[in-house]
Amino acid sequence: MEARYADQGRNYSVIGGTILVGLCLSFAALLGRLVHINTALAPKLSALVQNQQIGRTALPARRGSILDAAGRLVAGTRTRPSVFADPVLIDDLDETALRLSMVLAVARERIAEILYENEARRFCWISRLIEPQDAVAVRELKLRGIGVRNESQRYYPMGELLAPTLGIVGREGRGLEGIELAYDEHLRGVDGQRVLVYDGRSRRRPIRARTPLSHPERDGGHIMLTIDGVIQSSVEKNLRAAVESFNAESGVAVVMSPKTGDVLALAQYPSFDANDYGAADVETRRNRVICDAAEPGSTFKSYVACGALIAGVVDPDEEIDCGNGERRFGRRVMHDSSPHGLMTFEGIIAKSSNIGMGVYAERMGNDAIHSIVRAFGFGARLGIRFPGEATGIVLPLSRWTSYSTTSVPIGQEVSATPLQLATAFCAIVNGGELMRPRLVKAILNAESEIVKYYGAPDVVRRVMPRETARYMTEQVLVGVVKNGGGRAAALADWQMLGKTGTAQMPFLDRKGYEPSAYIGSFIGAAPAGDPACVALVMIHRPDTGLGYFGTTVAAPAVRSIMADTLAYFNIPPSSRLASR
Amino acid sequence: MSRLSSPPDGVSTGLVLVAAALMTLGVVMLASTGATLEQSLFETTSWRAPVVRQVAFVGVGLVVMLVCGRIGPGVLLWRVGSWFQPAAIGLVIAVVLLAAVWVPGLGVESHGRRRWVAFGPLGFQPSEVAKPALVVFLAAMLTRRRPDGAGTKPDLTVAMLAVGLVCAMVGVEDFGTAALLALVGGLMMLVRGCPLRTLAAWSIPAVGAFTYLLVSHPYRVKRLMAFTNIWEDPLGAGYHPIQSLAAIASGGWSGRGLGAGMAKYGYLPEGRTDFIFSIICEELGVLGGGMVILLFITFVLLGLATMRRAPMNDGGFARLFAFGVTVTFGLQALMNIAVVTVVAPTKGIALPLVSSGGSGVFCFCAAIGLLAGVPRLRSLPAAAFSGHPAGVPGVLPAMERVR
Repeated sequence: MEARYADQGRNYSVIGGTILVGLCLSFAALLGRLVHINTALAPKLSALVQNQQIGRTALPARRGSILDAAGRLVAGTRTRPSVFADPVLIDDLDETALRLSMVLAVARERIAEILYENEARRFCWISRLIEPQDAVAVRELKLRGIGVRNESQRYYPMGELLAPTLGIVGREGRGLEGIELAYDEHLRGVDGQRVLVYDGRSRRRPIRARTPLSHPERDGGHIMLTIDGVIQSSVEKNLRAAVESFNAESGVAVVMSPKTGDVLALAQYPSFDANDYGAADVETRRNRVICDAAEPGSTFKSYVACGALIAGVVDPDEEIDCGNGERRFGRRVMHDSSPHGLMTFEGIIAKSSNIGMGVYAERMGNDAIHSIVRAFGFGARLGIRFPGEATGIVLPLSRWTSYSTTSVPIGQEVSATPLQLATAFCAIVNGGELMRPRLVKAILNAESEIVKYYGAPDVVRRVMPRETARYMTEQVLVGVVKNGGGRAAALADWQMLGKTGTAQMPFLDRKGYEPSAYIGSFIGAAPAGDPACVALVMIHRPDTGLGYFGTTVAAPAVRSIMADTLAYFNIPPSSRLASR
Repeated sequence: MSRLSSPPDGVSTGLVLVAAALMTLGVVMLASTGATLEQSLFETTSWRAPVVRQVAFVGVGLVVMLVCGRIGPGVLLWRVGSWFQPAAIGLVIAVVLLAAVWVPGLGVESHGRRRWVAFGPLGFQPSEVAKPALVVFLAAMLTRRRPDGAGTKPDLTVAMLAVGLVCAMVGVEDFGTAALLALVGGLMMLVRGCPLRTLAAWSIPAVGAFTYLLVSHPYRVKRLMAFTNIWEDPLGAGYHPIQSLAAIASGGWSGRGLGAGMAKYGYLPEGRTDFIFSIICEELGVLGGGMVILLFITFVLLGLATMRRAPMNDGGFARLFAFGVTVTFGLQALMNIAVVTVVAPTKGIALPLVSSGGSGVFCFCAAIGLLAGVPRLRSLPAAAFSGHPAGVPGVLPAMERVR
């Protein structure tokens, strides 16, 4: 026994030393483990830490409103309560469904179905965007696992009014069409975010109310339109009446202020309810005033007539032989809808003689016709800020033929949007300046302070000398209403001027025109001395048995619209018109 | 009283300084875990109490350590060989206290386990007392002098029985500490020169007993299983390991800053005690955690130096005692850090001197004080150990190297 324990000194030094040094090496290994945790394992663990400690809540920005020119709300955002459930907290799903169905407009079976489908989830919607009084009733039930949360909803207090112009907003709060899309960034604002750091206790509470990562939401600004709700409703009412009384397929109308280019109203019928846009198809929702181009027909004569005046091929006293309804131009034989003999320039426009226009056009030549058409803004975007604005078609000069010489002046071989026609007409009646059309009058920030105001008109170019425009307006186009095809548009209290148009509708898939498919249109302005308003109405595919000439189907609508608008603008009557 | 006036010694001073540094860090970290953003720093009511308590513990502990350092382990040799020697008395007290845990009115249940004894407002953990008591008892038993005074004759059987008894009493409620004590006992016997065969033979019933302790508590098996894949049940058995790793990982190299840790907000429930090291790593980074590990390494090396230059004229008692204290302290720290870095399965074992609590501080302070006092034995007159030569050839030169 003694021998075994003899070498004690060695035992202590060697074995004890080895053990203790081994202990130190183990510590060093743990130091390595610390490094390992902070490098190799760090990504997975950091993600875990982020998940369990950081809670992010979106703070939705409030979408700005769209107002009309007088500040009336046409598109707004309202807060509506939505009922949600945490099914895990609910003991008896059927009982909860039954009690909820008594205060909500949702069937008991439907609620039960939702609850059972989401039985294991912590959140599901029961009924969204309900009436506030229903939400109060739900709260009073004091049901466990049922809550009410406020949600934002886009709504259009005027319903169908202006719907194709305002556009729509998608479920995620983004503008998808129309003004809602064009000014989406401004209207939407910037969503905020609340980042909270939570503790690890069973009932999670935030440790800090504020973190540097949080930022508040910035509410969207507002848009004030040039459109006036009163004029708009008159336009929509009269357009609808015209379409319905002529049993037409559809109609479009636009009213503009010629001095500024502001669009005062634009409408199409049939339209849709912006609050239920899902019920309308894309075709119906498209803004046909800005986005649809068609052959304009005889209204186009007024623009080319200006060109003839500028080109100096018109002598107002000269009488043109209109061939009693038929005349040959090169290989082409042209017809008038009613035969005319000798007529002056004014007479040709007033009676809308194709042959008379053909004579002037031949004198002008393709070059001059093309340049005046382009000068009025046809064949190019006008630059109104609206998604899907159409250019219309004006063929390049190189593709014009001898037919074009006589076709274009009578509004064939070209296509234009109603907005282009109205804008060009503004350039005639305002003294010769083409104004860029506008839909927006002012941009306001979230605090309703004006950020940008579009006051001065945006002049694109001068199309013709003031004198030419004056002659066109006060003599030629007034003549259309006084003595020509536009008599149906005449107003009792103000001198109306304008131009009729009746266009045939071309086949969509082949050359030629559909028989008995017409667009009857009238474009007018009043009062003649100093026009305050330009209005265009186009009626598509009226029932030919009831009438299809522009003077029949569109002129009365323009007259009603104009009467309403001028009265609304307090324009004094032009003292018992001289013509009477 | 010549032994009390021996000059302060570098190694001993180092031991005291390391211990003081660890305790100070413990207080700082306790204040840090208490100082949350939930209340102002001036609303100190909720965190002041534990910190003040710990400061008091540390203060008393330091006094205990310095006094024990002055006295030195020589006192343990008083009436050595008799039944009244301090080693035997210490073990008896430890066993009685361990039994007291089960006495109604004395034993206190905490976290579903009975590890505490309360005397009025004062409470402490008997298992903490058991650690130094067992080390001293084993050192004494394994260097017992022969009755004839010629050399030593270790009483292996008594030593084994003592280890078995203490481990069994501790292990019922505290598996980790029992394992630590068994390991310490085995290593002390190994160092004393017990034949490996004998130790192996004894280890068979020991392994059986520990297996029984393991399976008798389902949560221990669950922890062991969870350790194999902590991600399997991240909110259950894997929660503590995952949160501990998450805390360490979110500290990075330099930490989130003192007091800026997140784990203390309920993510790491034992952040003040067993998982204090994770909090240190979270707030002070790998750098801070590495400093703590270096402190423990320093302590172990200083303990080794103390052991190697302890005199042999007491039959090896001082050496074995020095080894025992050092290895208990170092091993416990190693086990704790291994647990919080998920190198070993979770068991309730504190980081010595750093984890908050009084019992551990007092007992380790006493032990470390005695350890620091080991060099004083050199000035004992050779006559105190009649028949034993003062020093053994080869020991002194080795000691010089360490210095």
